[in-house]
Amino acid sequence: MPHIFPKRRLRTRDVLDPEDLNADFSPAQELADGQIDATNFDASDMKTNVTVAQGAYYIPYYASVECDLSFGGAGLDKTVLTPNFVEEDGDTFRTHYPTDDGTLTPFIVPNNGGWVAVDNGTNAGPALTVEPETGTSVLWLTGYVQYVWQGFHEPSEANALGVDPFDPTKHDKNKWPTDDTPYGYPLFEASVAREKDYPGLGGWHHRSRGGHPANVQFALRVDGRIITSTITGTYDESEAFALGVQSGFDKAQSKAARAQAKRVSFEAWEAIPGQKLPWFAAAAPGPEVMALRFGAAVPVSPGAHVVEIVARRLPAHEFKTRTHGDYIGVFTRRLLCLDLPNTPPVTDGRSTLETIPDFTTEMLLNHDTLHTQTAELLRDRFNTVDSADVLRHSLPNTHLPSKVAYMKRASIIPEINADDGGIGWSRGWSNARWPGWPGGTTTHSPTLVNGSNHVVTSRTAGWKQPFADATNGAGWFQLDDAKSTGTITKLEIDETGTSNLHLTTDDILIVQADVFLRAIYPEKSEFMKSLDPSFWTYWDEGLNFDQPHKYLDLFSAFAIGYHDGSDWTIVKDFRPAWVNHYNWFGRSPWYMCDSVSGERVKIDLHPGGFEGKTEADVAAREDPYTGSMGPPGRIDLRARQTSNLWQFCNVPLFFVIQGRNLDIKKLGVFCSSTAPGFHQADTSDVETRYSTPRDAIGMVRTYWGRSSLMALKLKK
Amino acid sequence: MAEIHPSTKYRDSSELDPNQHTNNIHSHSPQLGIMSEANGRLDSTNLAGDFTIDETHIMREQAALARAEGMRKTTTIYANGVPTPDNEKFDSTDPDKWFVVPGCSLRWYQPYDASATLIHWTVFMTTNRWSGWAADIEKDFWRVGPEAAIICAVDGSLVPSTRRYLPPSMFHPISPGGAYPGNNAVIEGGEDETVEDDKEGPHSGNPRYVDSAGHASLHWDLSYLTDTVTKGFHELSVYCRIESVRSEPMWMQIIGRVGEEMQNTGHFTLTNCVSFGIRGARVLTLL
Repeated sequence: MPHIFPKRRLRTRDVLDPEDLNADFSPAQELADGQIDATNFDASDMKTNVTVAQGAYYIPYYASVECDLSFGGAGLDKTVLTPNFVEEDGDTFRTHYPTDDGTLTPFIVPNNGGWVAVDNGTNAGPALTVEPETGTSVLWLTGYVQYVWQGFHEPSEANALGVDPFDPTKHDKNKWPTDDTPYGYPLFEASVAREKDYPGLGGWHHRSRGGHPANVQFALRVDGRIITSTITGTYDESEAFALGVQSGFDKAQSKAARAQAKRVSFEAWEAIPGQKLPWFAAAAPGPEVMALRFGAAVPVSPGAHVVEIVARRLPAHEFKTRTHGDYIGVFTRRLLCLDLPNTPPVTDGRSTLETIPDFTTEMLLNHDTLHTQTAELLRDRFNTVDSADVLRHSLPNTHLPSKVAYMKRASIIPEINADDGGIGWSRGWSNARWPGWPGGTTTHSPTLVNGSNHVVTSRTAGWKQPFADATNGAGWFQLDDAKSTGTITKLEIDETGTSNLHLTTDDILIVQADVFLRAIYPEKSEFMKSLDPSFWTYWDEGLNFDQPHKYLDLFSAFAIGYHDGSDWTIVKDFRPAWVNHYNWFGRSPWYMCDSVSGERVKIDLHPGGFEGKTEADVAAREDPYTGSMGPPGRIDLRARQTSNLWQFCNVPLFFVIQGRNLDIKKLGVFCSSTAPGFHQADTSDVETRYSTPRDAIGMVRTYWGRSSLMALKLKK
Repeated sequence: MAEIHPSTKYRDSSELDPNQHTNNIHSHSPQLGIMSEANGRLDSTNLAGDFTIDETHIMREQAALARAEGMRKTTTIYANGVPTPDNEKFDSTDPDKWFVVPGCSLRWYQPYDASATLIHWTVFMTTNRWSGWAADIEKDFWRVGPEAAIICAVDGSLVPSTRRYLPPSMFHPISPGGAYPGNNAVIEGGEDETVEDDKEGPHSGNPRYVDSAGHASLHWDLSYLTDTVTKGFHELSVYCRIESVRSEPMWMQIIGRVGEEMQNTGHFTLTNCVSFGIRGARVLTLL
């Protein structure tokens, strides 16, 4: 209410007019009747000394399902499987599924193209929702999902160790899945012939072949309405990517082109050289394993609302039917809703109406009428202002205390190694190797320090080390800027010695991080390194498959951990974000996948590419190094010519802690990696049996770039 | 202390003191007048013990504010369509070296200095970023590796930790008939050489590309937390830079029919491009 002033100042010898006397008191009475506003308060005092009710600024709603990827075990004598999670029926979950979370399961996105709400972790159960009841509000929403596209290679009769990997009958697509090997997804290792026909489908060990996109979209749905700005893709679900090829030439170029023209002929089975315009959908995320974060600010009308995460699987390439267990699972999913009230619902609180005397002519003025019934009553009222006395929507920011209890952001910019020929390898890397999930029977060795949350301190710790080690071995490595000189800065928020990150049940902590994943680098196994390429027989045994950079089944994980003063908790409460090695086509200029004749080697093309066949169909008649003639086949000129390719993706991390008493001292971002394989009991080596029968991979290294971590602690 | 203590209690049999009465109503001295104390002097001592500010008291968007803006329509930007010279020394900290991505911007009025501002930029991108090795019609052999990157900005200031390179997604394999290490036949033959026997000579034309742009399509969500957003207008943006590919033409197509003689006749140039799908920016500011 605006400022109020007496109409006149009563002076000696003035006539005390009852009307004037009423005018002295009535404005204050009106003010006390629920009209007190910002004008009446001392702003600076209000801002610092007044209690704000819970939910006055925002009301948080948070729902989540923490769900492990089904890698199986990780310790000694344990097998790390692929994250294939469901049987061919798309309903029965695999038996090696982690057991620590009881019944929490991934959500299987139906292949019907429609939007479906992601469930709450009980198979085919109700949707994961938050259900705010609001006035006129804005809902600030953040969703997070970890998805996995099933279809990674798994061993079967054809792929088991000891079986001739060159036997084409073992890799016939019609051999799988069978009753004996229901998950025996084939190697998906494109033969020369097939890769020549379909060079974009040369990724190994996943049904995508590195070319087909996962084609799954996520979005937020509020009261049944898809929030289109949150869709993780394009609006047109059939959209293809734009090709960066432009035709056209000028006169000089035309002349040059004619001078270079060559007459050639091709047999019917040969692929025609020249460019065809490719067509792949580019309407949704493509990688096989990825974590996504998305959000919106959505105005809503008064009432009860339902907020969900929804998903849909777009049609397969060329709208073919999806078969053979082609499913996408949504693992960990988190949903945060902050209800920001604009016009909250009317509450029952009502200012008590005060009645003071209406002074009239000849009315007796005494202690009772002037003081007790009037001045004292108004005084007491202003000395005990109640919430209901304050006018609705009357307090601006100048009168309101902040509910931000703490905020901090940390970032790192890792140093780039300038000595690598300009390729730009980050010095921020780690050999950390995934230590397993907490609890259950398929987990890490119990001798591991801090189990699944074990932190390794050395950049080289992890792969090629004993699995369980007091200080290193398998575990998680904290991201840093890897400076070559000076102090190395870790990606962390350190509040040791303060209570800034001490949480009570009245607090809500929003933690986010963005990690720039530069590369998932596969280092060759010792076995592969030991093969001498000058002996053509070694090509038979493995060198032909020395193409580790094509592997799609290499995985890096990133997680935000918190430190309570004694130990890190990394995966126990909040599952990490996983990304697979989805970018695979790096190669040297000597990489050959064509019908080349010349001075080195001659390769005949098989008449027609066919799925599932391997390099047995490629006949090499001359050893490229010794010049001696060998038996037919066995040399693949793609081998040993693959190289690293950047992943270059942003891995978003996000979780919320609320309703807990937790004394956090530090927050940090960690990484680790894994690859399907069998960890032998008596050695630290990894026999990559399931990743590849070729035993090609010895280690997975994770490279990161610019990354940030932020913590926002709010009072509810 | 703003607790009100009137200067007179209007006792019976006492003379009404005009000054004291006036002070009870309005006084320059604190803690006396009912009106004067209510004119901006009420503070926490005047509040009832259970007084709390609740949601009904708060002026609209004075404690928390959320804004979001976005675009649904796909926009494709080609490297040779934006002024990003590939021979220019690139200073990634200079906003002028980047162009603004349409649809990822948000401008809003912040009515007060925010204690915390949580910002997100989100964009779905399909990148056609070439990588690989090429031999052009000049028989020049060179590596294809132009950059493409994005970076987020607040009020035109780039946020360094948000710079992200975009993944290579298209591989240009060297032409089997082109000049490349290990295949010297073409180079040695010179421009006048014609190869009639296709079985023994080099084939013309480039093999097909490795086209994994769809497979490398990504949803990006980058975030930023700051306490420096002050009262006034502010703007969020995503900046992009796409380097051009070295643009000498390369063989494009073979004409003819299978089993018959064919001749290559055309050429093409490569260019990086980025398609931006559903995208936007959103902000949450807290008092």
